[in-house]
Amino acid sequence: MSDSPTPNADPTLTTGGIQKAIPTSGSSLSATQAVATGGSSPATSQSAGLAPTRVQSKDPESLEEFVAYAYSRKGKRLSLKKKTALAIAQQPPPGESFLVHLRALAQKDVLLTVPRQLLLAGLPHRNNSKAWSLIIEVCSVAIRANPGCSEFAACIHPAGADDGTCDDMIAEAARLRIAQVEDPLTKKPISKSQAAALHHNLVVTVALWTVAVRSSTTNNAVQSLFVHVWKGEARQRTSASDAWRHLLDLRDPVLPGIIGGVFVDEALRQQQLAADTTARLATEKKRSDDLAAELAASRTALSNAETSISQLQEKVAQAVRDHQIAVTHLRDDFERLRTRVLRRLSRELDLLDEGMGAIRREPPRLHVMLDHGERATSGLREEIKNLEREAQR
Amino acid sequence: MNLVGFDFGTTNSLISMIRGNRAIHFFDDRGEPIPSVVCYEGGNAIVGRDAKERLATAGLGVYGNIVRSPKMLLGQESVFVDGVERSVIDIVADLVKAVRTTAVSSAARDLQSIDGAVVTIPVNFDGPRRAALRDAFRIAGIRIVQFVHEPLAALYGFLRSSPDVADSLRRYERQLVLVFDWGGGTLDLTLCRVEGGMLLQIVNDGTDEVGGDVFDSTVRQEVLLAVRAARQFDEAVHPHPDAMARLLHRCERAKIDLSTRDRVAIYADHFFRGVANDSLDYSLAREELDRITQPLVDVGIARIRTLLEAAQVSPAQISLCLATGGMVNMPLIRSRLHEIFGAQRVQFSSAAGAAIAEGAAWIAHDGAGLRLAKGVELLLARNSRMQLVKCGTSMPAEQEICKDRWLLYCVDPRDGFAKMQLQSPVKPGTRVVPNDRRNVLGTMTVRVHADARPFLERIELDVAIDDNLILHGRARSTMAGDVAELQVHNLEFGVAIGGTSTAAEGKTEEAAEPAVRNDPAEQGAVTIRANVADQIEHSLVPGELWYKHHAEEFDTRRNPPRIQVEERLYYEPCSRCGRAINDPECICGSAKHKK
Repeated sequence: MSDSPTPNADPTLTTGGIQKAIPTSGSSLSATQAVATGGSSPATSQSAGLAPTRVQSKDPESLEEFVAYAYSRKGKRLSLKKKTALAIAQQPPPGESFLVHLRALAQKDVLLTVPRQLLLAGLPHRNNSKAWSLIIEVCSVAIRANPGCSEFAACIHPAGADDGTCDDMIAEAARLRIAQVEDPLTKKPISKSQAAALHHNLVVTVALWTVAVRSSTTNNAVQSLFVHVWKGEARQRTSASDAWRHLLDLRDPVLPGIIGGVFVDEALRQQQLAADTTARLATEKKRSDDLAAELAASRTALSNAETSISQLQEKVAQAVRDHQIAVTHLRDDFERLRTRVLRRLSRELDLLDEGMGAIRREPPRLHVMLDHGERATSGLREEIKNLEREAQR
Repeated sequence: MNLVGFDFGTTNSLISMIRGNRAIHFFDDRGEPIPSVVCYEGGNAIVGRDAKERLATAGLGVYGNIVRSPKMLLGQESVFVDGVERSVIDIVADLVKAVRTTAVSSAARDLQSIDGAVVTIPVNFDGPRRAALRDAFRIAGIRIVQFVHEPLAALYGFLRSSPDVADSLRRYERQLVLVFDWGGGTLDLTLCRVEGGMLLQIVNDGTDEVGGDVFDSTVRQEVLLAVRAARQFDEAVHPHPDAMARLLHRCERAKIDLSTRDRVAIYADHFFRGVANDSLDYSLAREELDRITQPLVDVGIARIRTLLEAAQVSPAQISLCLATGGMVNMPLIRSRLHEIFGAQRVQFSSAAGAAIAEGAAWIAHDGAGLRLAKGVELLLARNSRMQLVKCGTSMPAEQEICKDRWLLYCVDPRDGFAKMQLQSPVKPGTRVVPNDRRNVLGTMTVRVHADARPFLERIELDVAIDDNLILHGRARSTMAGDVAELQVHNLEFGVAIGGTSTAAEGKTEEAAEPAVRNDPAEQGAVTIRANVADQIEHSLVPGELWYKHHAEEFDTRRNPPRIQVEERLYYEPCSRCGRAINDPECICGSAKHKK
């Protein structure tokens, strides 16, 4: 794309058919346009209805001049020089009279061929925000002013007013059915082919709008165009001969190159995504397997720990029981020993008491004391022997 | 669950419990069993040693306000204690409560509660007394899990507490064991047979005539007589009121000491009233003690011989004589036992006064339920028998009952009665043959229609054994509607060591020398002719009766049973004179008549 306005018109648009289109090297947009316009040339149809504007060699120095220049090109390719963009930016905001004039021009552009060229021309100057804003505003007003696109114009918003995705906008534009539109010059309704051209121009303008204004990518826009427009049209050409006819009619190889490149890029992206996903899946699966193994190991360890705990608890309980039993046995042993010794001592003490009582009697019963004393001492000796025997055990 | 063994003894009572393969005995604070004595003073029941020390006399029963061995009074509704009528069950409950309290409050032995008890009873303790004892325990807050005979419990404890139980069981397998339990109040004997790890009672005997207290009382009496004779006291000289009790205790002490000494002095201060020298002073020698107690020992030893003769067993057939009870420490009794069985076969229980309680505790610990040692049979017509309760049947636990019903036929209703006799083999175990001797447990007779044809009258026989180990028999004739009932209290039981037995399932049946000689009919015994059958079999009907209803059956071509033909010929009236064929006045067939 050259920086200066090109005086000669785009051959694709001026000759009125793809068959006559001469590819312009380095101009992908013009190639896209040529494919999009199909068999009929909107520019050709439109040229009869527009007021003749003389193309001046002088560069436009204001927005009004640039717009006038653009509409004088009747949809042909145009460009915006840097100094022109700076001049536009330095100007005061356009007045109401300009907008009235603009709407008048836009209404005459029945097939909506100019706004996309304005967008394309302003696209390199997006850094100059003021100029770019003015160009967007101009395009917006132009689209709104078009009689065939008034229903859709509500969807065109400046950047930031996001009422839907870019794909939704393109889809909605594709779904739009152009009602009867009257040509302001002939006062007759436009033909079917013109309506188709208007619809197509609207769709591609919206696609370009999404790229220029909504910051969508070209690939996304092309994919949306394919999905909502081209795919349906290509499906109608089902036979091989029909398909080959279209392929052979193709003069500009850039267009399929761009489209193919988009889909190749998308395919590669999807492939990469699939590869990444597969790799991530494998990683996640490995991680999942590792976690499952870790879980199983943890469960086994938990089970072992539980078993060990239950065994330990059982051992503790058994130890407690054994201890209680041992305590009981020891207490019983002690009680047996205590009561046995107590009985023995009591018995022998009773004997000795009785013997003492017998001695105190008059006359003293010494033999009773002797007997009882012997019995008591032998009993005590026996008990001592028992205790010694038990101590040895 | 705290299940204990409860020796509710005639003289002493004791609770024991197994902990860690060892018996813990809950003695009183002196380390001795609790005397089975209850004394009522001022509305309070004094139980145990304090009550016993108030007792001045030997023997069982009521003495003033003291009841000694109240369990022997069970079976009576009430007794008068010091002029107050008291329920025997309540007296027993007071004693049981005291024993339970002693055990539970024993801080040293740590028994929190008693959930149930295996209670020992004498072998001659009949069903109503068992039921009353259960009531008394219920009042005292102890559930009786099971009854067990005292000697059986002692034997169980002896074998179970041996170091190697299996070896002991192998040693005594299919051997006879005599348990000789001579305590302070009673002498109990049981002849048992060890079979398949199960202890089976063969025959039991018991008496309270020669208890240890009788020995003490006899010794006291002899000493008193000797002192009176030596000091020439007449009948006017009486002892002080408490002197007899003191002398009884001194005689008991002397009896114990004479087991290790040759002579002891018996001295009681302030014994006689109204004499200058009021003390009693007597020197008793062991020979004299032996002489005094010889008749009592003879009576006890004679019970052994009587028992063995009743079982038709010689002393040589006894493999083990287990002697328990306090009296077996007397040298005289020991020597007599050695004399009969030899020193090798006599074992003296180390647990002494606690052997029975320990055995009961082991039974409670092992959950060894009682099993029927001998099957219960019904005598049928023509001396066949039907088994009603199989040998080895587990006896019902508390609040359980095992029962069964049979339908029988009366084969000979001519006398108007159906007679059903319950029998049990003399020999325990399942190896019983039809010709083995049987003991009669009881007979039921129900009225039937005398004119009914054989097998027409049916008899319903219900047999049940309740948790008091009483066998209840009830027979009802369906046509005549008569009912007869029977209770059997003297069933004999067995218990499996460790709670398991192979004998009960009849797995150890092998040919072996029978312990009892077979003697199908005891000479001179009166027997009944059973006239019931469990099936309609016409050969069971007496021949003359069957001929009356089915003469065609006696056609020789039908080959009638020979016994029925003989019966018909024997009992049929003489065709000439109309008299019975065995009537001595019938001379129709004699030579004189022919002339």
